[in-house]
Amino acid sequence: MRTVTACVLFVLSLAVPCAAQSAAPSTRSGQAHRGYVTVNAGSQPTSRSFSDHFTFEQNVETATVDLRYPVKAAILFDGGGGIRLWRQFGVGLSVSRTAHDNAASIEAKSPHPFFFNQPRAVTGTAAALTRTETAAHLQILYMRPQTGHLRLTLGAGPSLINLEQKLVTALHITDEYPYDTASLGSADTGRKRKSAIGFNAGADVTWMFTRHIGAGVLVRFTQAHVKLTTSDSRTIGIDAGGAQAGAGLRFFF
Amino acid sequence: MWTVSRRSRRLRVLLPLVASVLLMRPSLPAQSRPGRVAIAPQSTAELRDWDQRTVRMTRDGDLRLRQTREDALIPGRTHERLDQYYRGVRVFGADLTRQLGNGQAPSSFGFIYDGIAVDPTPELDADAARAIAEKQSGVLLGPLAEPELVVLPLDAGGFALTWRVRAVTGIDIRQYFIDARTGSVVLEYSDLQTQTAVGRATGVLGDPKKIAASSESGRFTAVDHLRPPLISTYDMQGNPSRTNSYLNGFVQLAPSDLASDSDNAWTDGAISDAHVYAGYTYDYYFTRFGRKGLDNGNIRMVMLVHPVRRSDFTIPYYTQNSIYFTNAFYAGNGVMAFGEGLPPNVTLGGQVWDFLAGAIDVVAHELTHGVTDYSSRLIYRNESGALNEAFSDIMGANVEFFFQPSGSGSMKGEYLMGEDVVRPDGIRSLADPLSQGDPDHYSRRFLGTSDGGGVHTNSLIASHAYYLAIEGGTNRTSGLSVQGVGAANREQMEKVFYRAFTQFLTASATFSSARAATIQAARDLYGAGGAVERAVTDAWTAVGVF
Repeated sequence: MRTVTACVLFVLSLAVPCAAQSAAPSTRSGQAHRGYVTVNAGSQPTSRSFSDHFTFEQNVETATVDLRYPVKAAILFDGGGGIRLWRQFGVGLSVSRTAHDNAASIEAKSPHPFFFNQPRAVTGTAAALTRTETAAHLQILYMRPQTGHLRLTLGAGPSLINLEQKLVTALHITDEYPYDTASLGSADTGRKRKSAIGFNAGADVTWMFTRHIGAGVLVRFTQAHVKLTTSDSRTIGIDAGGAQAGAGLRFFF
Repeated sequence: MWTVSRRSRRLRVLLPLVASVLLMRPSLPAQSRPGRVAIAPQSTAELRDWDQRTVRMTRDGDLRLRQTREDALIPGRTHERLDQYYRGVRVFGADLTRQLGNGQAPSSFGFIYDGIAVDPTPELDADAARAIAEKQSGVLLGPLAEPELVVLPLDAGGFALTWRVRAVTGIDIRQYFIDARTGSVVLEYSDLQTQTAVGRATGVLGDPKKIAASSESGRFTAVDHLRPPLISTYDMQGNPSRTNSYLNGFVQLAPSDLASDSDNAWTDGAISDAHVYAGYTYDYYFTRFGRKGLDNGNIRMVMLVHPVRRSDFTIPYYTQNSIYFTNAFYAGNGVMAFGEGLPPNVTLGGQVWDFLAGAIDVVAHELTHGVTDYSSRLIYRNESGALNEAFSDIMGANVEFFFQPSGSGSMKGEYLMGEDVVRPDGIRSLADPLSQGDPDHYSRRFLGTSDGGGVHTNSLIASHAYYLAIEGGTNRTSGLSVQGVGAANREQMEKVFYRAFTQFLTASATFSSARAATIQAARDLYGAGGAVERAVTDAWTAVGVF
């Protein structure tokens, strides 16, 4: 989060002096805006998954655990702003956050206590695996001149995505004599976080109610590949981000 | 300023109210079980209520003071422990602690039970309960081991009047709760804190396997806590005198007699195989027939290994201790002893004798004598003795087929007895008794008096019938052919013979009664006139038993 804040301040410090020097092109209505601020709520509807695999010693053999973490649609909160620097071009920065709970499916092979090479299949789920993505999106903007009430802004640039994900770290398998079957007792989970740089590209369409206020729709795609390192030094590659859509208010100045 | 002042006043009024509401929440039981009441008062009012109830219950005799201790840290405080009683009988696991000081009770914790409804008069006396515990544990309990009559709260709800008996077996401390009316064991558990540790073992034949051991005091012992009965293997350290003394009841085995290993990678093949194969045999009986061990009540199983040392072998020494070299035997009460075999350069009858525990069929054979001991009690002489031996051979072969792939050679399921350790050819052949000099037909039976009237050699008449009933074939003496149920249907015949030998036969059974019992079992299980009954009938006919 500190990284994201620093990025915001950095971009704004660059943008504001530049904006002051740039010429302001007139819009069709003859009104020029130097910048804007947006607030959005929406969804990151991308449905994807990632997987993990780990092993542990059990009954003098190796138990294997395969995990599949589906990542379902999440509620999106987004806010940001942009500054026009030269003609229709400018820079913008927005910060988005998604948060949701997912359940991981577990498939494990638990060695039999009496026999070699006779693993018992264990399946189950681990619920409430919270995942949050906090991202800062830096964008080079193309601000299409306003047409009537409509404003269109296109943007693309790098994103810094911080992923915080609860992962299954250990399984507790229960069985009883004659041990031919085993079941999942419980799963230990741990929270891991890491940031990675990716990219974003998107568009914003705004319907202006007044000279300074409008309502808009944001569509953006952002992605970064985050490598989480677990406590036992496993590395799990996870794609963070995805398609994002939101709507909210726009304030132009 | 006014607002702050007013808010402060409000807070001063509200906080105690909120706190009292929070503190007044009802005490929740730690584990939900009908009738169990958790004592954990958190408000002064609740504490006062519980204190009054404690006094009332104590006055009524429902709580009895067990212990009073001065508080070593806070002067003037004392701590009481009170047990719950129901009509004069202690309720097991129901007690509370009470801290006292300055005439008040600052705290009280514990669990008691409501809704107890049992007749507190036992129908079984303490001596009878002690005898049941002795049978279960395999140890004699002295007069000081006085059973205690308790009301046992059952996990599933309800209560039972039971005798609580504690037995120290040398390797375990068992708590038994014996129903004071029926004599059944309602609850049994170990009071000894050990940790189960699955280890690696190498058998007599160099085969790797897993072993269920226990970790205690920095070593691993051959005590299997993973299976319902206690299975323990003792290393007799080549001491036949001590082995004799134990088997004759002169000494008890100590924890130091347990076979042990420092790193849970067991390399003593005889110990490993005796311990592991005893577990396998239990598994077979449980899986195939639902039987819980030798007595169907999970009686402990004790394996004795290394009763002698091969290095001590001399002809006179062997003559004096032969049962500990070239034999394995069931000694009663769940105890099995396994011979050491012979040194590699010594043969008997042209055969090499390895550690007897290294053959799964030998281990299963001996344990099956235990099953017979707790079921039909076939008298170990003449025809009943031959049936006793036959049933052990049959089950030995079954266990071998259950755990090993069919075929010939080392560690394969086949109809030779002990072939893995008595090489070549084992000691008996169920498929071809004549090849080993044993009778394959009733007309060839041994009629002498040695070997208990030929219990070993004549056993082949019955066990060969079993072979024919599964595999089919022609009896060499009678020339009669049998259509067996086939190896794929082996389980059918296993169940027929198990049912007949454990549920129908009696102590003085004969071959003829065994025929009738197995035919009845086949009818019961697979229908009259079916292929199974026909196979059994034809098999007995082929071996000349009618």
